[in-house]
Amino acid sequence: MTTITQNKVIATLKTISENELVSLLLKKDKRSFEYLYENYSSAIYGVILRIIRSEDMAEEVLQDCFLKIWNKIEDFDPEKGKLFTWMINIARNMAIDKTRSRDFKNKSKSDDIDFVVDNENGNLSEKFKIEHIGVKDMLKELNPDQHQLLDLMYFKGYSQSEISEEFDIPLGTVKTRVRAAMNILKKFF
Amino acid sequence: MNIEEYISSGIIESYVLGQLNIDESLQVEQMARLYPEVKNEINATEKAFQKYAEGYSVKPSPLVKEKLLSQINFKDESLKGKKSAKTIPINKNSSWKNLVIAASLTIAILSTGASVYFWQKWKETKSELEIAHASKAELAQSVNLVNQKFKNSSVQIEALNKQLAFLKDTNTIIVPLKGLPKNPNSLVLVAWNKQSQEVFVNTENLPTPPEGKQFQLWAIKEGTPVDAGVLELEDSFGLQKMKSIEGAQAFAITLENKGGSPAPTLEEMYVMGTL
Repeated sequence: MTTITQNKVIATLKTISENELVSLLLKKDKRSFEYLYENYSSAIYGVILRIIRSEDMAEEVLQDCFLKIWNKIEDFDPEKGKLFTWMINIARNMAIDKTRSRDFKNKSKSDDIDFVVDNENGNLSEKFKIEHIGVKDMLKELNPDQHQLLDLMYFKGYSQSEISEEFDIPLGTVKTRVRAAMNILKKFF
Repeated sequence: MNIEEYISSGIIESYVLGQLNIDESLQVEQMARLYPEVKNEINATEKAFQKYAEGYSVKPSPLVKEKLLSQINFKDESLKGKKSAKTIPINKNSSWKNLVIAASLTIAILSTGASVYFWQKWKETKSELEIAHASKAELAQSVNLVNQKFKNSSVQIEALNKQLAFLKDTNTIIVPLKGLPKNPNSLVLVAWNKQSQEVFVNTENLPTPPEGKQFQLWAIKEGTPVDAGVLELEDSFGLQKMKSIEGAQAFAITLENKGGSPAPTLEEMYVMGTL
């Protein structure tokens, strides 16, 4: 019975564990890079695109970001957290840095118009529609304040005290709201 | 210092978003080592943010992948090397054992390190008080934390020594339980002493069970699962003593209703490993 259960389990195992992935990445194995790219590039690109809002530049940053991940994988410490967290923090920093560059400021003047991520109702344009239905439901549960808070923290790199200062909301209130928003996100798995 | 207050202070979110400086991050990491609740909260926060990010997923143009593949130098050996797969060391158990012993020693050193760290923190805090600008509430919290740490440390060291002796015992076998599709990232270690029949399990690597649920360890003997007790996930070192087990060919962990079940729910199997 033991072996039957185990074989069944192995047969259904479509993904490799994060630990295995990291050790293959450290060996500079090509398949591991392809696996990494297939599984994470859409989420990483989505975050970069939401920060940069220009496809050309976002793709450039995505490319640099994957090069950095590949070259710096030795710096990833699984003790400290998940691979996704580490990668997305690299991506966010690179994207935010890009928005501060001269290159970005010149470019965004010329091509604002062709890029509409979401209008005021929060609808996404057809091209960039949310792929995961479950996540869509999750985002709907957040009220506009919570949505804005998460957006500021996740995509704009604001700390909670910076939000408090910028929007003149007491820090305690910011913390309570963040907590409530996080609890909603956590409910969804 | 109340651990719930620490968790809800917003510091975990800032940590996961990479917004803390090195000192602050280090402190969160120390807390995560000392308190499974903190570790679990980091984990849950990471997952929540990951879900949030995935909500904005957009498939990039295939050109990006092409460019990357042409830019990177891959190691060819690892590509072809799969057939002549690397031999897995035969003495698997003892290398695991060494690993666990090393891990325990690390924990012992870390907890000493933490005491020193908190003591230094306390000194810093004290001088800040003299300078007088810091918030009183925060100071009180740090001092309480330091006091707690010192009170607990001798008890902790004694418990650690016992666990270390158990792990060093030549009759103790370490069984790695690997993550199943439900939970591919977990690796749980079970330490089982054939002679004394004692069983320990490291609980650190499992997700926080949902409300009303609890993880349960099973020993599988001749195809029949035997209850080895439920996991509390509250043990301060992440090593929990389980029910004694006479004989086993495998160990597995399933998610069950709080209090445990008489038979495992196989669809809810999280990790498994054979001897």
